[in-house]
Amino acid sequence: MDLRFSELHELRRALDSGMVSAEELAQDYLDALARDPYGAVLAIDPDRTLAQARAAQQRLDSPASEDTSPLVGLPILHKDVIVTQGWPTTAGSKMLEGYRSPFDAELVARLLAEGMVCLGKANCDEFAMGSANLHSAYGVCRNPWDTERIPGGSSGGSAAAVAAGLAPAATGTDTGGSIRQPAAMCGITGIKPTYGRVSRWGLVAYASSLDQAGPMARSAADCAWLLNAMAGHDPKDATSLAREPEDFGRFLQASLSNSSGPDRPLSGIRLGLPRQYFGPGLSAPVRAAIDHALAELQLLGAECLEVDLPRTELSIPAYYVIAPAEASSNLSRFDGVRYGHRSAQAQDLQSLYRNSRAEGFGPEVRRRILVGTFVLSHGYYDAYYLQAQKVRRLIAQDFLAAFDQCDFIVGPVSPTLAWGIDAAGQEKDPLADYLADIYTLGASLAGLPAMSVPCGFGHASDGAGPLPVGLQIIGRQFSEARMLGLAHRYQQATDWHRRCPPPAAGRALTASGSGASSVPHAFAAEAGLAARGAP
Amino acid sequence: MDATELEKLATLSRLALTDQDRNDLLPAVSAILAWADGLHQAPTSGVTPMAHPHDLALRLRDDQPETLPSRDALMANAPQASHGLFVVPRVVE
Repeated sequence: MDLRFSELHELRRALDSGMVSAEELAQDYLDALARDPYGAVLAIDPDRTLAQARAAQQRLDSPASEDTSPLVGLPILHKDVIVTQGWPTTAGSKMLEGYRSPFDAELVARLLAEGMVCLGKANCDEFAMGSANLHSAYGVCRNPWDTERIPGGSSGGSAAAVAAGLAPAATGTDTGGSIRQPAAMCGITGIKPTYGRVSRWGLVAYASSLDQAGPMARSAADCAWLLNAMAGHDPKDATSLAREPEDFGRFLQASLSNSSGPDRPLSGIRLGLPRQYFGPGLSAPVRAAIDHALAELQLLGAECLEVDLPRTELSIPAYYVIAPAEASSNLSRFDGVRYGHRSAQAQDLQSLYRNSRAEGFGPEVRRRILVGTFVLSHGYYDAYYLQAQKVRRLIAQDFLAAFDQCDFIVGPVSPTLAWGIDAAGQEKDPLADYLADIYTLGASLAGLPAMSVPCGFGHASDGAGPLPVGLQIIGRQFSEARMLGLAHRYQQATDWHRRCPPPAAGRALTASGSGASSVPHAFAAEAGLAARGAP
Repeated sequence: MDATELEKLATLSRLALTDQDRNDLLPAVSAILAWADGLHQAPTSGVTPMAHPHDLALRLRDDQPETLPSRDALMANAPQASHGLFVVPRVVE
């Protein structure tokens, strides 16, 4: 049995049966992370991880235990824009090199309280700004399906690690698609919850009216478990929603509609296909996989109908005005005084600020700060920032109108397959990268829950592949449980989410995870833990 | 967007620019802003700006004592500190 590519549900059974202990499980993933050939992980701390694993095992072994958490002893990797006590948090930026948070993010604390074991920190685009993980100060992250290609971004390290069996689950954050797009490109399942579901306390802020954290895992059922632990009201986050706790897994078994039956579990469910998501910009291999997925969903009983999201194209300029505006404000905290990089070239306070920020921030972050400062500046505020906020309202209204006709909106996550890592391309026209976000930005602007579900593979025009394709499901606000139920029905009927990338041929592409234990664990061989995909 | 405007933006953003930065950033930022002009195609007369996905009112937390990280823990990441204070270059001549 190959546990490293198992779902959390399968690992739960392995732990409960005593087939493996929490410590052995953590050690096996630590060994894999120490040999990470993808640049997916930025920091591990085996002693700290194993201490958490031992504490979890004690919880499991306690005879008086009335533990109801399904997550006790299960490992997870955290995106590096989420602060963790003990592990460094860099947000993928030189600005925060060596930074150690004095507290855990609320979602980290919640997962720890549920007994989850932190494996370390995942690579990401600097301050979560990017769609390819090419903007990390700590090196690119590579797609396990083709190491010459990007894993998507900004949660690229999280997605690559889960896809490659370096972690069974990871956290991500999504501001304009940063959970969904890398999940799609790496062939895993990820959900961006409704804005306000998961506390932003302890997220390194990018664009505060859009940022939302969520789970990335190997199945919708696993995401439901994780979201149950991550979501919930937090008084420390002024935008955290005070709603009654709910079980996000309640539609994994329960019927999604009154007319559904065992053979046609999606009968009575109306899926809206936005015309604008199926235009000429959608590449042929992605289109083919999506069409195939839609046919499968219809076989399961769902009804597909066309809907309109007429302002889809405007979501790009709206997002790339609003997000940089909020970023320019949020990132003003990095001043070289209280934490973060301080320039050695500082004669006075102004040069301290200007040089520290110039040296600490990478090119994409500087571009967005300058654009954000421009659209908020005197004389341009109304024309750009306020206008973008008005367009944002119209885009949100378009979604509301579409949901009058359907239960869910479905379509592609990304117009293309994962593209090639081109060193010279890192500084290419940023607009080209922004266009790739066209199908994910709308749900972000409207604050809607949206997820990516593996739905097939395609080959690039140069024949490269197979490369994963993700189906996007967008729901009404607070409809995560139903979305996860829909995705689960699809995953019961298909096995795209269970496919594993080829082993990485043992070559070390990047150096990372220094200080890690690389001693082979005796148990791994015994249980066949590292039998597959071990890089 | 011209070089003078870029310089003004850099000052407002507290970013030092090298000549190379100026050469790279001027066309990139100009292109992004030219593209953002596309927003003006949309008729928005009478539309209320949407600052946030939810219409939330600001709420206050209960006034309860809680334990926060110690001063030492909060100062541990300071690039330069002395006597429990952040050190900055001289600001008064």
